[in-house]
Amino acid sequence: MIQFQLIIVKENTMSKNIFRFAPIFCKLVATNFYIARQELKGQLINFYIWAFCSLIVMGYIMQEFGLASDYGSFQLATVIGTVGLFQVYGNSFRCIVDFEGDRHIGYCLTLPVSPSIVWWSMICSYSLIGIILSVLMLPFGKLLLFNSFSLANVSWFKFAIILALANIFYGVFTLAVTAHVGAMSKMENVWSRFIFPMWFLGGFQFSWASIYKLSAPLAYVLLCNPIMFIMEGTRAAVLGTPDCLPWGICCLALFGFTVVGWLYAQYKMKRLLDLV
Amino acid sequence: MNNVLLKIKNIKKRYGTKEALKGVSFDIYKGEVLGLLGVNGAGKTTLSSIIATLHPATEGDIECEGKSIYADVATYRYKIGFCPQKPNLNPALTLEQNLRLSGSYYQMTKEQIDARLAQLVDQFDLKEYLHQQANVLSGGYKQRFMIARALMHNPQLVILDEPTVGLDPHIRRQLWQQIRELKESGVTVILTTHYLDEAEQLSDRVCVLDGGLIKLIDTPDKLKADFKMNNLEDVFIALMTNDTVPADNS
Repeated sequence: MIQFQLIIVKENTMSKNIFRFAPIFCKLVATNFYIARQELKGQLINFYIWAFCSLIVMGYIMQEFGLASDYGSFQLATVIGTVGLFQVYGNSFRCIVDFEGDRHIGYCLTLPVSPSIVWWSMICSYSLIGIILSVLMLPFGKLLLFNSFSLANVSWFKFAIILALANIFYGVFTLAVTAHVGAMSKMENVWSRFIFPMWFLGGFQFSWASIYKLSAPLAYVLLCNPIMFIMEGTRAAVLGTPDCLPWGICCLALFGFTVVGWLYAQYKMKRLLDLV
Repeated sequence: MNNVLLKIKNIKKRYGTKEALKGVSFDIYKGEVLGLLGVNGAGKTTLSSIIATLHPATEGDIECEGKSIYADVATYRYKIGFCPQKPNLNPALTLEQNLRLSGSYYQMTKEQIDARLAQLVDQFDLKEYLHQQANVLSGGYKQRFMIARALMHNPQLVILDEPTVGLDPHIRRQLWQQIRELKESGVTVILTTHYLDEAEQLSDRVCVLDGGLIKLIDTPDKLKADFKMNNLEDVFIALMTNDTVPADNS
């Protein structure tokens, strides 16, 4: 009981000092971003290759097999929403390598800030990189699809909000997955148990409305997957099509998933790294 | 006592069912070098990482100048510098960037960082490698940079966890000299080490841990006199093999 009270006191003191920590938080974000941007060019090339393959196949080749003519633009919106998800594995891998190797994180965790500040600095830098890469998919997609995709349909405000929410969620998800997996020997589980099923069942190739027509119960089950809200929200912002889930609902749901993911990540990280 | 910097009060640490520290209490005085000694698994690194607030204690408290460090961990962390056993400099940054960032994390101004950097580069002879990345350094230089980084914000207390492990003898001697200079400048040092000659040369007091408990804590000279032995290594071996503790230390 005494120990529990001690923990509460520690947490309260830390959270009260949030403004005191702001300069250190900004420094940490800037440092993480500075390091991550060294790999930005390589990541961009990788995503351009992936987007090129997806959009050429779905936007042109598959139309020969009867796919709708606007499926290319449908695919572009989902490619934009997926970029952050595909970064989760790499970022999680780098975290685990550090935890089991040099433990640079150990230095950050002895800085005069709470561990939460260190985690949020990582989430923010992951999110910034994710947003930059996602935004750069848009002109690339326009170049590839040209007349099949109209920028006039893009709601830039909605696009900015959903992109920020999606990438913050991906940052939190990275930490949650890292803390859950916890060891290099289990890293292969990240792709096969988390990222692939969430992505494949998250509306990458289909809309929620199409599943609803097929099976309403299945459609409701798929709402447990946060990726579905990212895909639907991005499509609502980029394509402006009326058959998407409401954009506001997608944002709210993502916010909820982010909060839950953060609570889980914080709890598991504290246990994994045995933190004050 | 006025010159007590840290009061370690009945610190216990459990990992599952294993008890790494079983109730450790002692004081650390301002300006002293305290050597933490013990065989592998004695609890030295566990204790130093708890003092560095990297890990929490399961039970007990640590007071810094009369206040529990857990009441305001961030403020306490401004007072300490921690140099872990394994060098963890950021490999993506140059060593100068590592040191500058360290200063900025502790909210030093640019002028303060410049001045402190110049001082530490001179003190630890780091100029040659300042613009290199950490992975090109030898073990000795890595340790020097690690200690320099821990000192960047002028902490009152520096925790050095086995700083000379795996280093060549002449590099060890150089680091010894630098630790002596730290003491002369008034910094309190907690030195975790396996090397008894190192502890004897550098420590004002040594604390011998065994099985998660303090077996002895005293000055090296007093221990040698009590055990009627010529060096600390003999004292340590006698302690570990015979379980002998002189009456006035028990």
